Amino acid sequence: MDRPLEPRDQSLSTSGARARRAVWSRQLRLWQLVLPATLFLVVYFVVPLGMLFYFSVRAPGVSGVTLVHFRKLLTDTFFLQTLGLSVRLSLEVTAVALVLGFPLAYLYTRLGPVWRLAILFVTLLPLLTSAVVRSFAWIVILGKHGLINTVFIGTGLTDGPVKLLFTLDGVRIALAQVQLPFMLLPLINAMEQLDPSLEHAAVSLGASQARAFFKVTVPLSAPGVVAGAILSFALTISAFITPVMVGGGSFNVMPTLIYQSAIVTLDWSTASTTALILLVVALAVVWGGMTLGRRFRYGPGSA
Amino acid sequence: MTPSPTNARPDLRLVDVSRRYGPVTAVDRVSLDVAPGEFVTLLGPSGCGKTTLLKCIAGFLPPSEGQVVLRDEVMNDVLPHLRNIGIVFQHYALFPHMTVADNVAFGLRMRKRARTAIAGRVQEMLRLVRLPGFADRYPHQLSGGQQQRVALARVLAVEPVLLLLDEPFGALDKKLRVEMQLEVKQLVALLGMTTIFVTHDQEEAMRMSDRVAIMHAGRIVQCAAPEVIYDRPCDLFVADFIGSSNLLDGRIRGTSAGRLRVEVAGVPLEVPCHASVRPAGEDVVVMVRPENLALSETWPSDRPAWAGVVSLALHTGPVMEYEVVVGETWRLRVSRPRMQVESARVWAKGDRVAVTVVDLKAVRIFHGDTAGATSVRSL
Repeated sequence: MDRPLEPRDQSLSTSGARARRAVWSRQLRLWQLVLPATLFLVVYFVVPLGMLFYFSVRAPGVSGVTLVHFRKLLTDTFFLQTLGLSVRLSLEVTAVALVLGFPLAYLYTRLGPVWRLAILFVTLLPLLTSAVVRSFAWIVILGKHGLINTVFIGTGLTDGPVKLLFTLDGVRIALAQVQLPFMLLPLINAMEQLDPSLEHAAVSLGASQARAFFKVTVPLSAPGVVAGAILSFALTISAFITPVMVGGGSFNVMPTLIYQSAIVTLDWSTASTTALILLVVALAVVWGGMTLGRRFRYGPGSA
Repeated sequence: MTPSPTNARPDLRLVDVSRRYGPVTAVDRVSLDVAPGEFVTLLGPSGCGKTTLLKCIAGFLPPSEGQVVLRDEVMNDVLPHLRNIGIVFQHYALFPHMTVADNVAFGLRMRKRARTAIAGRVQEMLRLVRLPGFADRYPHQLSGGQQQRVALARVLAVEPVLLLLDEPFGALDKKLRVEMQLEVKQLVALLGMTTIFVTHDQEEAMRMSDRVAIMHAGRIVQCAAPEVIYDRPCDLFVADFIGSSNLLDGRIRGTSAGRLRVEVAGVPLEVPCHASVRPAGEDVVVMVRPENLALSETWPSDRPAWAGVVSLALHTGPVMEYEVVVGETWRLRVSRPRMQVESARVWAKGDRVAVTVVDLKAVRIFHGDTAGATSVRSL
């Protein structure tokens, strides 16, 4: 090469600098883009969570950190019973939503666009109304002279009215309806990713349609089950309005305990401690569910 | 349509099978006999109905009319899992949550075979497809070719009456595809499996099949051995679809002693013809394969020739492909092997050449013209 190298070197260095500047400004812009969300989360999530934690470890007349509130609640039989009821109720509602949602999701993946839209519309519609309106509707349906009892008595299925309103059963039914879409959507998502020829392969190898469903479709839908169950469980254990209105105060769940402490007795320390215990228990159940779900996953090392 | 060997009872017999979706007829009165051990390919462009036909055979779709008969037993009302038909799917459809061994064992477990028998059979099948050490792997840990072999092992483990291959090589790259074609062909021949193979890749079809059934618009238009399909296509669609060919408008000028005189681009060709005498003046389409045309510098004294100019010269490795412009409108595709002594000359763009037909017996003549219908039959 007889041409001097300087001009080319120069151009290289300037283009390098330009590239570096471009990368830097891109990073800057990305950072700027997430800034509002970050600020929002810090102000409305991180700070309140810190305050919860602060209230739960402080007590009047005690300097520094104390676990007196935790000790008081965790040795209180009424509190532990309520906690147990909340967890059990949420697991039951999740199970009902799963049992109803799984066949519905399977049906959805096998139907034409019109029926798909119908399923989505009917299951998602309740989310478009407020929890209060929805609960009033359930009171009308579940009541002593409500729709269900009218049908039961009219068809001679029962002699007198069945007590559903202001019972745990009524709350289970009402909550399961709300949780159905949260269960259904992840299930549909998981099932639509399955190659339809997987079931065909199972059938061509001698599995009946039912066995192909249980041997192939069900285990491969596990990621959707886990996602739907986590959503449904978390939303049920923190549900407040439906248990209060449909349950009619005949029993307590964790959110009602928190409400009473914070609003009625103005005992913010107990309210905070209750909330933190609920959070830890909910996280533990979610973590357990995810661990269980992972065992159904494709195999080691898969995404 | 070539009749299948009559000495053997066909493993699969399709009798006037049709499948309609509303007003659309996807499969239109298809009849086909497949002899035991035969490898038959359904070949056609996408949308020709070959996949629908495959689903009808497998039992995933009921035929609207006609019968699917498997070893003398009408299958129309038999549920797909009781048909004992093995299928290898386009994307293999291996069960991702099961190991290779569990995948291969699946069909045997569905048949409730003894545990020890299953384990032995799985080992045997994995040896057969040359994957003996892969029993505990999961499908996503295998390459495309290995997944393909597992899919084969899984299907062959249950000894199906019929093997259906639904475009099984489509997801592989070209080199691997050719290797797998040979491997599958050998394996299927070794086991004497009766096989139906669906593809839109004609090279694949020609290479692997005992017979090729060309499908077009829901019908089998020709079903014959690959060389017959190539040499004697029954109509213009097949002639155009299989291989490359020059389809040239011509006009009949008369007949003499079993020869048809056809004028193409101003040059009269004497084509041997055993069919009925055609009226002079009729318009026809003349098919000449590119390898049936030769180029020379000097004007041949013993045969008619077109004078033309090479307008395109392409290297494809073993073969040179040329396009020669004759007159104003005629374009002839010519392919010549590069290594042969007598045709060692490689032409370049702009060369003036004489184009001659190598073998007039291999020229085919069809009714109609090149713009017209493709459903015309050959003479």
